[in-house]
Amino acid sequence: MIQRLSHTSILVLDQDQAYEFYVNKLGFEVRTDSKMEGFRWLTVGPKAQPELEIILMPIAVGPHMDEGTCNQLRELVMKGKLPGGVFDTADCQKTYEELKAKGVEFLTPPTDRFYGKEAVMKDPFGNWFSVTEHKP
Amino acid sequence: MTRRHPSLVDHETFVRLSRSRDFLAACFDRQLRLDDAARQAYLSKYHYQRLFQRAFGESPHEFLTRRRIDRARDLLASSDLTVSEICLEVGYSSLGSFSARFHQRVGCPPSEFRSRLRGIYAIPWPGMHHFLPNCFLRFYGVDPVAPNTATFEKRV
Repeated sequence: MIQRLSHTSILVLDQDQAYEFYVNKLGFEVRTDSKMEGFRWLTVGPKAQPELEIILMPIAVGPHMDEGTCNQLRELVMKGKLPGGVFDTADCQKTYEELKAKGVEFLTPPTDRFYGKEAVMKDPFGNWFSVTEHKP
Repeated sequence: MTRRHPSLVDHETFVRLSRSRDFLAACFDRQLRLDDAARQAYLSKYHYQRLFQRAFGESPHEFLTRRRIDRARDLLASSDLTVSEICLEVGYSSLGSFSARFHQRVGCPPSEFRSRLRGIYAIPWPGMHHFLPNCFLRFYGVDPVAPNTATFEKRV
């Protein structure tokens, strides 16, 4: 039986920019950074979840992806049609202020919801994420 | 039915614990005491140990061991250093302790890990011991057994 999720992926347009965002701005750890044959396997994760790997997947032409498909995916990402996920925080307001100071773009500021407080941010490519402080 | 979200460590404490964790990650190859790490977080040893476990799901000692063994795996895969040299390089002073910890975490002794890797891959390359799912590699047209070139960086 499947027991847990070990890897998930986020489509990115540039892995160097993705590294700058997820590692240097969001504070994620690098789990693996391996380059071969012009391909880079780059995974990161939050410090509080050492077993989880988020694959920063480049949209690139290859045996299973032609140029037309790549263009379609790039457009969808840039339009923000591919939600990234939900990140947990102990303090939405402080996290919002810290990340804004680092240049992270938010679609909505911290807002009270029935489940807690939530802000919505996006990465440099268009993927958007909920940043949620849950009610106890 | 979803379960309740686990309670998180408060923001300020998490920032301090993260700083101390970064300190451990940067100094993993040295002889460290729990006091040194706790001081980075401005916490007593007892509270530091408890809060670190709660925030990161592992104790400071477990984190340090994991970092050291991960680095040892990198060196066994990508260098010609002897097992004894690697033991010292990653911060262990006793070869026996290092080998036992390595075996416990990896499932085999350091020398066997090295010879297994080199028996699998046609061309040894630094990142070969990390989990790179073949399905993803083939998706991008990379031969997982014998990539043409490889450079590996594992930033801590």
